[in-house]
Amino acid sequence: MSRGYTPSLVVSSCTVLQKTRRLPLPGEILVQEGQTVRAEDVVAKAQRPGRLSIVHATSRLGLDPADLDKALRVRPGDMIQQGDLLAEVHGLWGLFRGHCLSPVSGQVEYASNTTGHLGIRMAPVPVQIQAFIDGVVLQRLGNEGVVLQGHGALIQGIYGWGGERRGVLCMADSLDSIAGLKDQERVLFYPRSLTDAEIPEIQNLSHLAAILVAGVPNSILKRLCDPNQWPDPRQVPTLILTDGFGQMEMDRRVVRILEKLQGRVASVDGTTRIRAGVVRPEIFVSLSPSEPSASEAHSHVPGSLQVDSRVRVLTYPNFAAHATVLQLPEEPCLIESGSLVRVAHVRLDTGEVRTVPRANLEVIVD
Amino acid sequence: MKAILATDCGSTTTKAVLILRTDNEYRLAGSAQSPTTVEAPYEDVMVGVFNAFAEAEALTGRTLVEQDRLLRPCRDERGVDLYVSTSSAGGGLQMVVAGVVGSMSAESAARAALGAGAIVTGVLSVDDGREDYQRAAVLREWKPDMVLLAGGTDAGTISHVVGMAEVIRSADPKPRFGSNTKLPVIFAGNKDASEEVQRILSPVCEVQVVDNLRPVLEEENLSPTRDAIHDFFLEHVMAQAPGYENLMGLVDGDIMPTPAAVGFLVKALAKRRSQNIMSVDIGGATTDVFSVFQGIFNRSVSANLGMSYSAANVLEEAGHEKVLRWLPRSLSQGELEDKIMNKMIRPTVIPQTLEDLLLEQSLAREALRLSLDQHRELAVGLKGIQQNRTIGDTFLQSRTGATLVDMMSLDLLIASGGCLSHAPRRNQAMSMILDSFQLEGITQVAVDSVFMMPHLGVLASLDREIALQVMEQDCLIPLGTVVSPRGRFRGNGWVLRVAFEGEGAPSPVEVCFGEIVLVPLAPGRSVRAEIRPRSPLDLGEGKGRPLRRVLTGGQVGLVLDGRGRPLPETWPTDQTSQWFQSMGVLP
Repeated sequence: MSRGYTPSLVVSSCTVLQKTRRLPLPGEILVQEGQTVRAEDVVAKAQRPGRLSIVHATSRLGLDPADLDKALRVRPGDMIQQGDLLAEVHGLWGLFRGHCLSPVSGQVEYASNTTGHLGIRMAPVPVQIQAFIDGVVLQRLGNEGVVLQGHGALIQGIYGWGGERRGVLCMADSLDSIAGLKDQERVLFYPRSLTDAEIPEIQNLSHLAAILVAGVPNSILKRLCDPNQWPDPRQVPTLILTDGFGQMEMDRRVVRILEKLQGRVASVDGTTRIRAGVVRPEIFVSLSPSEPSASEAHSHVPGSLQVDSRVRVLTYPNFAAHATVLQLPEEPCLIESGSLVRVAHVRLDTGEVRTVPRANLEVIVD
Repeated sequence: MKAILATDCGSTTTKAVLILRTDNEYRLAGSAQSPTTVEAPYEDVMVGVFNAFAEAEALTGRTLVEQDRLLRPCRDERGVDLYVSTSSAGGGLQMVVAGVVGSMSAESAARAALGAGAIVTGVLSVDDGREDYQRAAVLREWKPDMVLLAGGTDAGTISHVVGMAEVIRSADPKPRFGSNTKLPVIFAGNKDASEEVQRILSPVCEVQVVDNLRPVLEEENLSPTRDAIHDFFLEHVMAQAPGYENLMGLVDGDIMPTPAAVGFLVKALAKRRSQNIMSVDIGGATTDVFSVFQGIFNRSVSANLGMSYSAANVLEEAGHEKVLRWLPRSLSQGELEDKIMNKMIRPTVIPQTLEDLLLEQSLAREALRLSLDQHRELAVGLKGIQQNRTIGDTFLQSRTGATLVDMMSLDLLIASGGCLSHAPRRNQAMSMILDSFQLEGITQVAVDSVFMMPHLGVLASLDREIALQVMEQDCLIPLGTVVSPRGRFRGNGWVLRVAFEGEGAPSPVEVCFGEIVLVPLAPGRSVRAEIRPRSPLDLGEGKGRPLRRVLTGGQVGLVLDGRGRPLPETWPTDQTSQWFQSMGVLP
């Protein structure tokens, strides 16, 4: 029999994390299996082929494409510099000359008498990937990447914006207090939802590597994720929501874990994919193998819904409430919307007992 | 043939249906589903397929698998004789089309791709307002499974389409699956350019040349392109997806892209009934609309209109007011946004409260409305062609490229998708269709009971008779017939009078402007009626002209819609409540 699928998120103070670090194209692997790596170490590198720049030579010179050969001053395979002469045409009695100069440096790849275009391949672009977590190289994936294994605390969020960032974890009770924390890259966590009134001037957040919050109203997310709102659009902090959109409190357990890790460097990845092949954003803080809790670390597998499972309620009227499963009745039950669905009876952390469709529960794996 | 098994491997769920022959007719014996397993941690579609088989075994009590093998042919009431499958896993077949003129070759290319079951994720054309480097950048960003390049009539100019080939080469796009494979490109443009296009593209792409899809301006020749897309889909896209090699070895016939199978079935049904038919499938990410009007098939995919992954985009495109107008109670814009964003990030969640259900259905109305608008724009006659006009046509302002979608001539609308097929009350599904599609004239409405149109579509490609038999018997659940005159009325009093004939027929009904009246008429029952719209309202016979028709019933019955067409943009909130009460939307 197949099993039902229940979404789950990991919240663990110590887990074994396996992380695949893959190049965007085949390249060179710089580490060996069994080797210990630090998060900032480069583990693989590659050369991305340069872009092909198309130069509309004959239209610039006012020629018919078929006459390109006569005007060409370079040949396919030639290496050229930006500003080099690609083609020229002599006008009346040789007095008027038209020039077509190269807009880029690179190698001439082709010249077409059909379109009158030249293709110039620019220099390759080096690409490298870092380990991102402290750990050991578990496996080399041919010439494409590596699988690393590390021990540490892992919190998965529900929605993220932005890519990989690292910084020192610190908690803020109010966003006004963080303006002075400009001495180093920080990952700030804020155990509630942001509100309009609490958002300081965006310039005061620009030194942060990442912001972790329980939730935000969508109107604020739009502001925070708009690169044009930031002094440097390339340095927008990664944003991770642990619970969702609207007003809510962060799960007490998440807060406890993060509080204990203040002052440590966190690896934060906002990458989120909602469709098939779900990817959730995550915060990972590496623990040294010598730390006592590291020896208790174990791998986490996707959770299944069982009696006593810790869950998060995903629909109104108890949206984002945390609860424990009391009972999983087999027979479908009629809910307020009029649908007949399979349900779970849960006890909210506030003490009330509620009946919730199973589809509306998210297992918290710890 | 005694037993047929069919699966549809979707992005999220793999659905299996079992069809058995009983008393010389084929009937649905059961349907089952299981999560699709193309992605990590399984990365093998076969795990989900065999899980779905196991669910089907449990539900029907028939043994299908023994020692991890599908039992074929069937013996002693075990196993099946035929196994077929469709697939849209991994987001379906995603294509970019490129042409010379956006409204001509690129539009024809889009029709070819959509008709073959693809999602068109982007369109490039020489007149799209982009620079070459921008076209290359967006092509890299779109990361399609396949590119279709068209442009130029045969013996026409070649430089533009060759220039577009250069753009594709400069983008050097990589396929989504298989990092060591080349991106498939189908060239269906000017035949004189094919050699040059191949020379340019073959270093970075797998190129196949087919007949020009627009050999002359006045003609579209889409079949060779659609066939090539189908072949490339199997050889280059499916074969790269995890586990599909085994699935391809297991099925009888070819795996079809899910929308191609649905399209095939809709065409077959329209031909069988000699009717104009539309079918809409609203999913989490996309909404597909299929239509056959006057025998011409069209399909559109609204890639960003859906009920979960694309929910935020529906709100963005429709606007808050349009969504909120369908709610019987007010809701702030902030609450609306947050609820919809929460639905987007947790797509499997179902509405628990009536309020959330009505919000979801409001969003569905707008997604359906927008997708119909997009379908209208795509389902058009050829643009840019020379028309022969007589003196009688002088005052007709018809232009090339007019839409083929004529709601007044639509005979049957088939609705499918979670929010329609699984609406807690069938009246809610009928109401969503009525409000969003604004049906005109006299139209039958049905829903796909268990999302089995893909299964029946791929079955139809092998045995049309069986597929249509099961479709009529078990797939389509008739909701009833809608009578809805076109036009606006100023004044008071009736706008629609319906007199029913025959023994046990319903009493005569008078409908005032702005009202909806529901007349119960059970599935399988029909009644002859004389219907009189009040001028200037029109039911297709002319303003105020009556007509006589046989109206068929359904789980909802007959819906007499006196709101006129088109509906206004806005109305008071209590008006929505009244319509919902009339339609039986609310408990």
